[in-house]
Amino acid sequence: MTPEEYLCELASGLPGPRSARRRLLAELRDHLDDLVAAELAAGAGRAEAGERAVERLGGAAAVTAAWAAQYARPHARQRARMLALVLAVALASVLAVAQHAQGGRDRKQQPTVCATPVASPAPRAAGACASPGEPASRPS
Amino acid sequence: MSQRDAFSGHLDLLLLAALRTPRHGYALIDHVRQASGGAFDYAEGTIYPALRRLEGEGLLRSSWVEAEGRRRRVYQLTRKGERALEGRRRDWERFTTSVRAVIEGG
Repeated sequence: MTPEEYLCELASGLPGPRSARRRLLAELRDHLDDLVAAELAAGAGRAEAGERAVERLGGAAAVTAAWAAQYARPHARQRARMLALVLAVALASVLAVAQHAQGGRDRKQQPTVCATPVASPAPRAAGACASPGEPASRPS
Repeated sequence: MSQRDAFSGHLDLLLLAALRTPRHGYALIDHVRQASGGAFDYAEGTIYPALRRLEGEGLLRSSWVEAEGRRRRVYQLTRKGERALEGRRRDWERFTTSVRAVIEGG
């Protein structure tokens, strides 16, 4: 495999942002140039030098796997953070509901302070959402 | 275990140690190979993902540098990288001391 074929094969299978992929390919191109120059200086022919250089870099699959692993890790961390956030919100909601229910039981005999304001805007909100879709409610 | 497998477990330590002096990828591999007496045998292309990862962890920084008419990505240790290197070097020494004590203990 020539250095060009190697880089093409790699380019087609790399995950990650475009700028990061371009930087990796540019660095590998530099590395291949150095390896080819060293092989030529040691007396190899051009085709042989290219093949040996590619061999030294390792298979495209190995480089792709190493590259993909570093992108897999941040995503896994992101997912873990998101899961932790969802669990925290769920726990907070459960606690809030439990606390509210407890408060409701404690104030059983008194009219609840928040019941009226929470209950009253609901029909208005429903009406406001429904009206744009109802031509009949438009003023004629 | 092949020589390649033996090195891969310690790649981060080798890369960090070699980057006490700023180097681009090829010079870095060349340095490690020579410093190891030619024992370093590694799929050279896979050091770049490792360098990128160490940079992402804040242990390295890199920039394009123009030298001898060519543009190269040169890596060097950050302060955090220096501290990480020191820590990993101590871990390595503790590990080798323990292993040596066992294998030489008879």
